[in-house]
Amino acid sequence: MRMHRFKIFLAVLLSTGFLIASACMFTCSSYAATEAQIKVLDPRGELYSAPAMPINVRLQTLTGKKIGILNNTKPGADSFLPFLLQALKEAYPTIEFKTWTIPYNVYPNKANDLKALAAWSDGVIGLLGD
Amino acid sequence: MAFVEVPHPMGMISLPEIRAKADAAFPKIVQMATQWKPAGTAVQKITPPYPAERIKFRGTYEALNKMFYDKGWSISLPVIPPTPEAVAAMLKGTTRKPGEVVWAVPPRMGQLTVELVAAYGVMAGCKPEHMPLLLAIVKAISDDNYDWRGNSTTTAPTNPIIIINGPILDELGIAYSTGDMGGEMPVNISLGYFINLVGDIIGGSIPPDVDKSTQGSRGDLVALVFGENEKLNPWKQSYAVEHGFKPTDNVVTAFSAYLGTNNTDHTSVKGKDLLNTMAVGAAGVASGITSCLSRYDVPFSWQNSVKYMFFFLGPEHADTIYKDFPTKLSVEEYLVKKTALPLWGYSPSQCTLPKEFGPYDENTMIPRFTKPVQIHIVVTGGPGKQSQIWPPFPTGTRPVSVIVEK
Repeated sequence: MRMHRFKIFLAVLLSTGFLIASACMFTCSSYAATEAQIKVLDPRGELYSAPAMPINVRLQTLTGKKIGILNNTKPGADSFLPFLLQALKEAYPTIEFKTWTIPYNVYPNKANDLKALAAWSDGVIGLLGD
Repeated sequence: MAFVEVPHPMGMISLPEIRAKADAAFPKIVQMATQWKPAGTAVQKITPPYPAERIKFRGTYEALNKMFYDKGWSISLPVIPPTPEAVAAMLKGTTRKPGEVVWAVPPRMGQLTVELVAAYGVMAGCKPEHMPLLLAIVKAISDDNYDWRGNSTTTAPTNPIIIINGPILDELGIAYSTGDMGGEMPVNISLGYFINLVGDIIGGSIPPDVDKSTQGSRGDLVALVFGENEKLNPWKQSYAVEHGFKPTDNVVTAFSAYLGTNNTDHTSVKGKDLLNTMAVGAAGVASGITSCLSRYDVPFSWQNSVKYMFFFLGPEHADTIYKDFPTKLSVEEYLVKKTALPLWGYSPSQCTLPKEFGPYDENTMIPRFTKPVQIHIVVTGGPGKQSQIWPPFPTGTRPVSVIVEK
C-alpha cells in the first residue's frame, strides 16, 4: 500500500515537472533569444549622383588675377577675411579682390549670386566660418 | 574642391589670435589655389535606388538589432525589422509607386524612395494607414524653407517639430490632449522616430560627422509630433485654417526648432497679464543668436535672425487669453510689442538700431519682432496651466504646411 502511494506520488511529481518544463519551453524562452532566419531591407538608400563636372583648371599664379572672395556670412569668416586679404595683397601686389556676401542658407536669388561671382572671378576663395 | 581647415574656434577670440591663424593657414591657401590636383578620378558606381537590397539574416531579434546598429541602419533605440512582407503591407497604405524617389536626403544625399518610406515606417512602428501622413511629413521637411541640410549639420541643438491639423487626428489616434508632446503617445512617437531614422540613416547626420551638434538634443532621436487641440481652441480657428487651409483639410506643418521653454503661469487672471509672462519667455529663448526688430520678409542674416516664434498654448491658457483677446491677430500684435529684450541682452552686432528708432541706451527695451505674421499660435494639450514657446532654427527657415494627400 505504502509502495503504491509512493508510485502515485512519483508519477504526480514527474508529471508536474514535465508540465513545468514544457511550459517553460514556450513561455520562459524570451522572444529576444529566439533565433530565426528572416529577410530585411537594407534601408540606407542609394546615393544621389550629381552630374559629373570636371574640376576647374588651377591658376598657375595669383599675380594679377581677379580673386572673388565668398563670405558665407557665418561668424568667424568675417573676422578671418581682413587678415587673409592683407596677406594676399602683401604677397601678390597686383591681385584684385571683390567680396561677395552670399549667405549659406537657401534663398531665392542664391544661384544668380553664385553665377555672378563665378563670372567675375579668375579664382574663388570661399570662407566657411562658424 | 580643395579645402584648408583652420582649427576651431574662430569666434570669441582676439584679433591677434585670428591673425596668427590666418598667417599659419596662408601658405596652404596659396598652395590649394595654385597647385592642388584631385587625388584620383574615381567613377562612382550608380545603383538604381529601387528596389532596396534584401539581406538574409539568421539570429535573434537582439542580434538583428545589433547588426542594424553596427551597420548604421538604426540609431539608439531598437527597430522593428523591415521584412519584405511588413514593407509590402505598409505600401498598401498608399497609391504612390514604390520606386518613386521622394527626396535625396542631405547631407549624405541618400535617395528616399516610397518603398524606403514604408521600410522606415515599419522600423519606427507605424501602420499602413500612416503612409499618406509619412509622405506628407517628408514633403514638408524636404522643402527648402525647412532647411534640412542646415539644421541636421549645425552645431546647434535642433528639433524637428511637426504639428498636425484636421480630421486625421481622430482617425489615426494622433494625440493632441493631455501629454501629447510627451513620450507616451505611440502614434506620435512612431511618427517622430520615423523622421529621425530617415534623417540619420539615409541623410547621414550622425555626430560627430556630419552632425556637428555641440551638445545635441533629444530631438535628435524622436522628433516632436503632435496635433492641435482644435476642439478646445477658443478662437475656433485652427493653425491650419489661419494659414489658408479648410477645416476639413488634413495638414502637416513642419519647422525646425531650437530648444523651447515653458510658461507655468497659474495666477494671471487677465489675458494681458498672461501674455506678459509669455513674452518674457519668448524674449529669452534662442539667446545669443536673436536679432532685434527682425523682419519676416527680409532674407536671413546675422542682423535678421530668429524671425518667428511658435506659442503652443495649453487650452486653459488659451481660454484666459481669449477673454481679453478675441482674435488671434490681437494676440499676435500684443506679443510683437511685448516680446522685447534690453539692448544689452542682444549679442553685440546683432542689434543695429535704425536712426528712426530714436534715442536709446543699453537698458532700452527693443522688440524682437516687427509684424504679427511672425507669431504662430497653436492650441494643444489638456487641462493645466502650461504652455510652451519654441523658437526656430535661425537661418532662412519658415514653417512649411502641406496637405496630407490620401
